[in-house]
Formats: sequence, C-alpha cells, structure tokens
Amino acid sequence: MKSKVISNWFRQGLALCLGAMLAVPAIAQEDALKDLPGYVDFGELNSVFGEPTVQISIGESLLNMVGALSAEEDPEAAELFRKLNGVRVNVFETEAMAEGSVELVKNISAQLSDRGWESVVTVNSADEQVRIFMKISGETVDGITVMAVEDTEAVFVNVIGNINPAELERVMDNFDVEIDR
Amino acid sequence: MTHNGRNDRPGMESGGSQSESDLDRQLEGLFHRLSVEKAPASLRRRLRRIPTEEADRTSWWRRLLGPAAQPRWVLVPALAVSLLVVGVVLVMPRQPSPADVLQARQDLALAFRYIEQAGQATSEEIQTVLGEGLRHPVKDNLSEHFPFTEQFRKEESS
Amino acid sequence: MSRKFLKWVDEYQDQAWTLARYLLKDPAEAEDACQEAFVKLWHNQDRIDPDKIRPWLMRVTRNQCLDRLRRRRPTQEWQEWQEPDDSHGPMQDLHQHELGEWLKHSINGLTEPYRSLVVLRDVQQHSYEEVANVLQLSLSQVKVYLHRARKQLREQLAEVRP
Repeated sequence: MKSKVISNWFRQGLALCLGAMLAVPAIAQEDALKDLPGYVDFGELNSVFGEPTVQISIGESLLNMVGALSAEEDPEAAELFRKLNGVRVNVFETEAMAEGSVELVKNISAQLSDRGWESVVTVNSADEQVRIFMKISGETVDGITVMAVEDTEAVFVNVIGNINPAELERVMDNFDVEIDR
Repeated sequence: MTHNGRNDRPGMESGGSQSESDLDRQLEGLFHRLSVEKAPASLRRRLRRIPTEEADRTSWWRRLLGPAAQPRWVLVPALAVSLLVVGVVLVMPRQPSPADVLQARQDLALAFRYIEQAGQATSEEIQTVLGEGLRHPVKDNLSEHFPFTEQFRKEESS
Repeated sequence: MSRKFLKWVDEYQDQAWTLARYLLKDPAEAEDACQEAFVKLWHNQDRIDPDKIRPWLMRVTRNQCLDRLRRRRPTQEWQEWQEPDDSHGPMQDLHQHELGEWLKHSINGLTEPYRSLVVLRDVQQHSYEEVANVLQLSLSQVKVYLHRARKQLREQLAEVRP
C-alpha cells in the first residue's frame, strides 16, 4: 500500500516537474530567435486581445525535421525549411475590433519601419487592418511579418530565416497537409 | 436525382404506382435543396472558445494532484526524485519526437493558411478600392515585391 | 487536444445546428443546446471512438434539445411538440422553390422520432447505421420509421404540388 502511494505521488510529482520542464525548450527556442534580424517582438498582444486561441512557435530543429519528412515528395520544401530559423503565429478571437488593436498595429508597424523593414502591403479599413512587412538584406529576405486584424480575429505571423519569397509561395501552394483544427 | 430509374437512396421505395414514384423523386429533389444550415457566427465563436473556457475551469495543477489530500511525508521523496530526473533531463538536449514533427507540419500548414488569407484580403481590398479594372496592374506590380498575390491572380485567370 | 476538437467543431457545427434548429425552432435555444453538446464532446473526447464522433455528437445534441423541450413546460408544450403542426395547412399553386420552404415546415410538423430521422437521414445524409446509433434504434426500426415519415411527407406533397 505504502509503495503504491509513493509510486502514485512519484508519477504525479514527475508529471508536475515535466510539465514545467517541457516549457523550457519552448522558451529557450523563442530566446534563440530574438537575436535574429527577421524576428519581430509583437509586444503585449495578450493585454489587447486576451489569451490566444492559437499559438505556434516552430524552431530550427523542428523545421529541419519537417523538411526532412518532406524531402522525398517535395525537395523544394525541404530546402526552404532548412533555411528557415523559425515560424511564429499568434491568433486571437475577438468579438469586435478590439480596443487598442488599431493602435497596436500602428505601433508595431512604426517600430518595424524604424528597424528597416519594408512595408509591402497596407490595408486600412474600418473592419480590417492588414500589414505585411519584409526584412530585406541585400538579396535575401530575413523575415516576413503578417498582421491581420478584423472584427472576429487578429492574426500575427512572423517567418524568420533566409527566405526566398517565390520559393515560399511555391511551397505554400503545394503544402498539402490536412489541418487538424 | 436519379439517372437510371433507380432511387439513389436505399429504403426510399419507389412504391407501387407511377405517381408514387414521381412523388418520391420530387421529394428526393426537395431534400437535395434542403442543405445543411450554416451555423451562425455567434455560435461558431462560442464553440471555438470552448477549449480555452473549459481549460480555465479546471486549473492544471488540480488535475495533476487530484482531489484527495495526501500525507505530506509522501511528497518529499517523490519531489526529490522528480527534481533529480529533471536535472538529468535538462542536461540532455530534448530531441523532437515524431509526434512533435507531425504537429509542426500541421502548425506550418496553419501558418501558411493565415499568410494566404492576408494576401487574399489585400486582393479583395484592391478590388473594392480601385475597381476591377485597376486590380491587375496594381497586383502585377505588387507581385514583384510580394509573390503571394501572384497566387490569386493565377486563381482568377484559371 | 484543442486542435483536434476545433477540427470537429469545423466539421460538425453546421449539422448540429441544423438538427437543433429543426427540433427547437428557437435559434437562441438551438445555440445553447449546440454549445452544451460540444462542451460534452470536449470533456469526453478521449473516451469516444474517433470514427464515431459524428453520431455521438448528433445524439448528444438531440438529447440536449429533447431535455430543453421537456423543461420548457413539462407537460403542455412537450405534448404540443409531440403533436403534428398543421397550422400552415395546404398551399396551392406552389412553385418549386416554395416547395422547399413547404418541406421545411412539413418536417417541423412531424412527431419524434420521425422528425429527427428525416433530418439526419434525408437532410444531413447520415448513414442508416449512424442514424440508428444517434437515435438508439435498431436498423430495421430506422428503416420502418423512415418509410412512415416519408409516406406522410409524400401524402402531404401530393396535396400541395402544382
């Protein structure tokens, strides 16, 4: 009986600590991206939009593995993923255009412009704000940022790495994966 | 609707008389018109919030520890061992598992979908603001810098 | 876990909504019933065979609707709901597109389990096995009841079609 109780608590204690431990690589992964030129700090999104419904952060090692998985059917994808450092997505569901959202998008846009990001797309309407930025260094693109805020959803995407936009477009077209959501 | 005189739906008997068959066929045609009604936006939003709302109801540590009080003396050796394990694991780099990789593929597909949607929003806005006539020249120029819009030009011309 | 759940939401929300609307008519109540069904799905998702999610969800949605109907007014309105709704009456000279609306009214006029049967099988195209699972009927019961429901609708259609 005693050994069973201890065994149960061992498992529960382990689960507790593993839960915390599993968060460490994710945090370390995010930290590793912060120094890269293509990284964008979106700031305090949660304070404007609340908890995200989708939060994705894929680092280099996972991207390499995804590339390796795709190598046989799509060598272009494999090559693209090999050159990427990270992909980050934050999606928030909103009831209406969240208060402060327009201001937030403007602030982030201003910061990006100051840091040398080029604005590629700007959509300003009452019910939709879209910004697409690219961080260009010479002939390479170090990062792509997409911000899209509308009355039901706010989406923030940051792709980091040595990106060939035409390659990315082709890979996106052909990336035939059933989204599990 | 049927093509060869047989009903597509098993169990939908054609009946004895021709008029009953006609009625059956007409009924079947009417059923085809009755499409599944799209859930309203308010319901869609409520349903998508369920994971967040339901997760908040039960904090994770309660689920882990369970409802019953346990003697504290049991905790000490259990936690000590756990911390030792954590220490060992932290020293070793964690390799992504196959499940992690598959999940990452899903996540990437999601990220791509959002990027494409942003591109589509751009395309629609151009049409709204500038009209159909100017859409192509503007998008052609844009696509030099941002090839995502190229995708939608292809879709339109196909 | 939530991605899998959200996928089910995308796939089945319209069907659950359609069923609830036919059963409850009131859209606000139908929304509540759907939400409760999906909350139950969230809490039970690990226990359900993934291949049986749809019939499970339809069954729970239907049960939520029936519970609500019983709670409205325990005896009176429940009995009224059980009885067919003849209020719209026969309509003359209906064109094809109006017949669609007529059919909706007629389905709403069916008693249970005929109404659920027609909605699940003919409108939402569930298989017989799934319908049997949702309604907790045998396969032969489903076929017999469905035959009766369609017979009713056929007879009503004969009166109104141009």
